[in-house]
Amino acid sequence: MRLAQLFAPITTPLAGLRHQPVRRVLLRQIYFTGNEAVFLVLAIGFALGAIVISLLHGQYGQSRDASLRLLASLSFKEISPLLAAIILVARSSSAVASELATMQVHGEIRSLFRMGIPPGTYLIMPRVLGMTIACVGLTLYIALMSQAGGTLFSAGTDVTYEILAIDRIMRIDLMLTCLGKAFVFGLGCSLTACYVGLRVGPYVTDIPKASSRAVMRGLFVIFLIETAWTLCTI
Amino acid sequence: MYDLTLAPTGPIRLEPGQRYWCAAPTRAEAETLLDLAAGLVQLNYPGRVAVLESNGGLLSNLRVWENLILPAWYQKIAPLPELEARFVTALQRLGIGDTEVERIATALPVTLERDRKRMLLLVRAAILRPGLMLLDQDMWGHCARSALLRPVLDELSANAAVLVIGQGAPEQAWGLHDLTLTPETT
Repeated sequence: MRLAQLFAPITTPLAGLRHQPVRRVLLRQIYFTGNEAVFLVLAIGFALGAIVISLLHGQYGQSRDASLRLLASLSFKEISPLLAAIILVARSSSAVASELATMQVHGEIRSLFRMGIPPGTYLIMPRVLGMTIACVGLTLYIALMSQAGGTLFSAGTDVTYEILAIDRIMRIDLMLTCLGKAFVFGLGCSLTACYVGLRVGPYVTDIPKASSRAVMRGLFVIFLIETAWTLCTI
Repeated sequence: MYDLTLAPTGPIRLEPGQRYWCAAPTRAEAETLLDLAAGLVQLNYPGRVAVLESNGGLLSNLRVWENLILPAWYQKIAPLPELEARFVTALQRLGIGDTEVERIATALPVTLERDRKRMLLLVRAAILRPGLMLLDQDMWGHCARSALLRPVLDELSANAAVLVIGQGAPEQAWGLHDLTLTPETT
């Protein structure tokens, strides 16, 4: 089998990005999923860093340097990707699933097909790609803000020294793990939401069911990926 | 000229300026036949086919303006300013004034009446300027009965082949050639 054929299920919908309406759907998805949630995740990230640092100081008596190292490890490797994915599921998975379910119930996907616009290219790919990009972005925001919050809480007025010495704490392997996990979580959540949204029956009452199902299954998928990731990296 | 293979007997030729009727035994089969025909012609003649269906046809999460330019925009038929000009011209041709054009353009399909939605499907076809038009039975009947829509459909079909897919005989014959795609041949 030729390489092009092997990757056709991925490359064919991606080729749809050459169409302006598809790019528009992608940008809208990134905007609604990523941009509109920015202030929320920045606040959560900051609070997370402050909470973890105060726990480490108060309960375990760690030094400032060791606390920040531990915070970076916890935040970038585990908490930030997981938290961002949970926020993504709560905010966007249900929205995507109910939107697609509505379109399915009202025969709009069939209309798209009749118009000569592949639903996979116009509806699914931009949503999956948009949610995945947004998940990576949100994860980075949370991770960086948690580090900022932790640094500010532990160093106080001495924060400039900690910022200048940030390279001791944030290693490249931490960043790659964080981005990789966020990418896989985003992909898992978005594919689940699209699958659930498109698998509805012909009744309007199926739309809210799809919405709640997308959240529950999305959470299940996230924790499944997390478990699999942990087992693979032991 | 457009070739369409719906039956094992081979392709049928649809000539621009001609109107054809294709009968299916049941309404559900007519819908399936419309899906099949649309899938085939959209694959072979992208950007040159307009499908007018009586139920739906507009996406609920897009405003009317975005809905109407979507097929032409997706297929890169013309730049956006040109599509906008076509949109305004088509609505004015249907007797809609400037203020009303603006209101319709920004409305969501859910706020429109069924007849208005059907009219807008014809506007979408006018924006696309198709070489082949596929209509379902109800849409055909609606256009044939409407004094407002019929001249527009006449204008569009002067340069396009029209294929109506429905159940049994057409309600309004209006110069249709029977394709004799009866159950025996399908």
